[in-house]
Amino acid sequence: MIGAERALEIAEKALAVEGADEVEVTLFSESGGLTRFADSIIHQHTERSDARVKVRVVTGRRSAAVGTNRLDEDTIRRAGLRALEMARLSPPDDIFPGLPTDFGASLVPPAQDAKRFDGATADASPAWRAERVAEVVKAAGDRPAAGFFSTSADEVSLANTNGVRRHTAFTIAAFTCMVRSGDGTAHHECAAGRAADIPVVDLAEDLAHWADRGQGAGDVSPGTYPVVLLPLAAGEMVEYLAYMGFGAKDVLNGESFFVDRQGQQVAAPRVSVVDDVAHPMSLGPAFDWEGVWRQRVAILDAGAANQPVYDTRTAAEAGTTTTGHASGSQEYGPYPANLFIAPGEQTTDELASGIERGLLVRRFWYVNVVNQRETILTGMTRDGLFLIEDGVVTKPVHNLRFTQSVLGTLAGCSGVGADLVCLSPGGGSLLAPALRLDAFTFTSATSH
Amino acid sequence: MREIAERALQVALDAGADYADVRVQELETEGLAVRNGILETAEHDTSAGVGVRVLVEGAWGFAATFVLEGDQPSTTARLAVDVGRASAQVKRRNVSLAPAAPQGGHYETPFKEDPFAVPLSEKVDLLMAASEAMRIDPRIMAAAASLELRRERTVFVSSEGSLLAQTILQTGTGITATAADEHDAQRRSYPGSHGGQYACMGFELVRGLALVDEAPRVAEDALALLTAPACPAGTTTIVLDGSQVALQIHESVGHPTELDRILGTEAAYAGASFLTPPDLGKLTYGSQHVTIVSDGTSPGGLGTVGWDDEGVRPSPTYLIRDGLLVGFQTSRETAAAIGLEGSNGTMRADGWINYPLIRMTNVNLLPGDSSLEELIAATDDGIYMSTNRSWSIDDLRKNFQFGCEIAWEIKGGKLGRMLKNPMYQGMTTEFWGGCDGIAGPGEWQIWGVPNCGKGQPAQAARVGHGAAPARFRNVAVRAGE
Repeated sequence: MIGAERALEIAEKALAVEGADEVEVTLFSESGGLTRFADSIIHQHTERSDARVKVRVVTGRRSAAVGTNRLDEDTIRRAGLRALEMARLSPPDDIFPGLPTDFGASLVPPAQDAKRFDGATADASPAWRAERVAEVVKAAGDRPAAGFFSTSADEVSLANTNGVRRHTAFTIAAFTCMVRSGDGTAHHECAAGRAADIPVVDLAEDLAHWADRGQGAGDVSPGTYPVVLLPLAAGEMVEYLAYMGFGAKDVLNGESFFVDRQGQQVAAPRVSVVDDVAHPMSLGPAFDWEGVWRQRVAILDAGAANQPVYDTRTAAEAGTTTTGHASGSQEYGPYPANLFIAPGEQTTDELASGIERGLLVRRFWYVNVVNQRETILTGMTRDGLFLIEDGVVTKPVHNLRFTQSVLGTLAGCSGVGADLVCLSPGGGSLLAPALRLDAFTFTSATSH
Repeated sequence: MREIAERALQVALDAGADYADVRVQELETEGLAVRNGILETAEHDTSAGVGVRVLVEGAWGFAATFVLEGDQPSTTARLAVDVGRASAQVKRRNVSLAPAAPQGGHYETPFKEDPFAVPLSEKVDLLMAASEAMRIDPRIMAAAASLELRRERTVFVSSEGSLLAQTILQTGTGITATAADEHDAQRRSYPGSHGGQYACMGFELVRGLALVDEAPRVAEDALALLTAPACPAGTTTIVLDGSQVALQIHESVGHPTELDRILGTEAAYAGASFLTPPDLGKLTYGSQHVTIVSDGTSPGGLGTVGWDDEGVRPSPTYLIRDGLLVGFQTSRETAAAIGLEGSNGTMRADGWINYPLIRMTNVNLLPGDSSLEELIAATDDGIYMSTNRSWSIDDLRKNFQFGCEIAWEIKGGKLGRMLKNPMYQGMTTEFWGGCDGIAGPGEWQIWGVPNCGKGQPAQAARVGHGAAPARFRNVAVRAGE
């Protein structure tokens, strides 16, 4: 850890780039470890630390950035000068609105923000993580287990010449596990700000149960089925929907569904997807990569396509204001880093209970975009696909490939689970419940 | 760098490591991206650090730090040993390594023109001109051009006596036009999608691609796709361009022949493989036309190195010969696990901060004796597809589905209507079994894939695939969505 005082001191000094109109300095540091296991042994195990300073310099609506992981004053000063030199050689961007000023307030109260750093997680040793893995292996019994347990402490500082000063430190623990029982497998993953909050033994025991139930899968024909997507599968659908269309850059490029459906009902009224950094389970900083406080944005509001998220550049191009969702890359544009699918009140059994013949999907795999504007994805099921008959999960079946519009299937969402799983794609968080979808199209089969 | 590496190595051994290797590395990258005549990205980045890998008590440990000053590299070496001892708490057997002769020397990517030395203004002007040349119609919503440069300087030492230095230089560039109207949005890219073409080369790669000259055609294709009919469904013959064949190789041959996947060490994440060690020499993977080689020495290939990150010199290895599975991509540990004499040198790490994994270097489909023109002329009824748009394959690498940016129907040996949203789906060995023609050396080139994901923590590998246009019979083509 660098610490707030030293980090802001480094940033403050780096702001002094002679000849620049505006300067922004971002300092990111990470340290932690990941203990990876397969076939019930630890086979890969790492402990690592890195830091990065990025100096973004603006001169006459031209900007450029230079980064380094050397934290000495001279290297950072030279980074600023090089960024200025690059910016001067760049053509002007007439839409560039300048660096943001210090406006608004954090949605995350100081006490909640402080809780996002857990000393025990930051200090977790390789031996401590190995002990957790040993517990998982024991809980799985004679079934091979694979996955990882990771702990990390991250720190982000940001300062600019318009008076913005930000600093935060946070911890993230993540756990994934796949248990095999014969030809049956079951997988789960989750993340939390505190390593102690991840009940690895309970999870491994549950996976052992589902891996046992997954043995002896039979064939099932591709086709359109009602499905219950467990939280990992539901979260992946929404994560890809966000990738395809929640950022304003995709709207400006004409590729997001918001282009022609903003304000329209695109999903069932029970579906709400919100980016909410202040949710008690959310992970990561309360500000974006321009130092703007992240705003709560109801992206799908009771099934209506409400609005995408913006950074300062896309907001200027679209004639609106930033929502605090800069991703750090103007090329890729803004992104919602703390998505939250509003939960319902049903258990998984209750979600399945209304289905005469359908499928329970525990996990998707290798999902990719087929048609961005139509939100069509393809991908496979994996690690547990079960038949639902007469409202009850009955038997395992071989995996299927789906080709399906996300909004198309969310339009038929007839149930939402009560329990949220916290996932951590890309360092932020995604809170997902189970979903019942009345029609989900599988287009081909495989043999396992 | 050498002094830091050797000191860390000695500290690791003194702390109890039975084997250790150390990589000290400096990375330099430059990225430029233009969209609609605006320079959206102008970034330069450097990163340096040391990664220490040890075997202790029969288990692996790895630690890495960005602090190269003072005692930190030594502290990190001791930490790597602690990590290894922690790993040994959960093991059933000791790791053993296939033998590898100690290596020494220096390797540098051959290049004609240092891309970092080309004036920034010249590079920006080129991208701006390409972007402008695509803006031929208001329906072109995004006219994007990008350039990415990467240089890695690495010193590697091992407790078995290797001392290596290598400098890898990589260049990538491409353009993409996105057209949209009230009904649809379509993309067209050149020379390939997902960033264009990448190679271990200098700026000569960029100069040879004539981005500005190609830009109007790219934009015209994107516009035409808006009103093109959707690709019809059915079982038919398809001809794929070289860039799509490259992705097909990557997903359905490259990954399943990685021996770590076959042995299950990627089971929870990247997945395993439908292959097993006893399949070697027995399993029919494709038709007699299909011969595929793992070759980390291919000139210009994005996966070409002097040595891998275990200090093993890549040795070209047949994976599939005349349709028969005959080889795997290996590491020292996995080679020993199935009784091979040694690794073929495919262990690579994404920077100093990561431990090496088995990663494709260049997995190349050897050229045939046909040509794209002849393949189409000899097809009575089929579809020609070009430029990857989407890709997906199951966790054992059997069921795949690919989408391309553009297609044309083939009728009576001639290209007909343009078709949009083409997709095809298949099972790996059946698909390669249907390959009945591959274009010759004149249309063969190595395509770079700069973003191959694997491992936890996540690593991105930069790999190459030699490919030429090829024809496949009896393929399920899905209706354009």
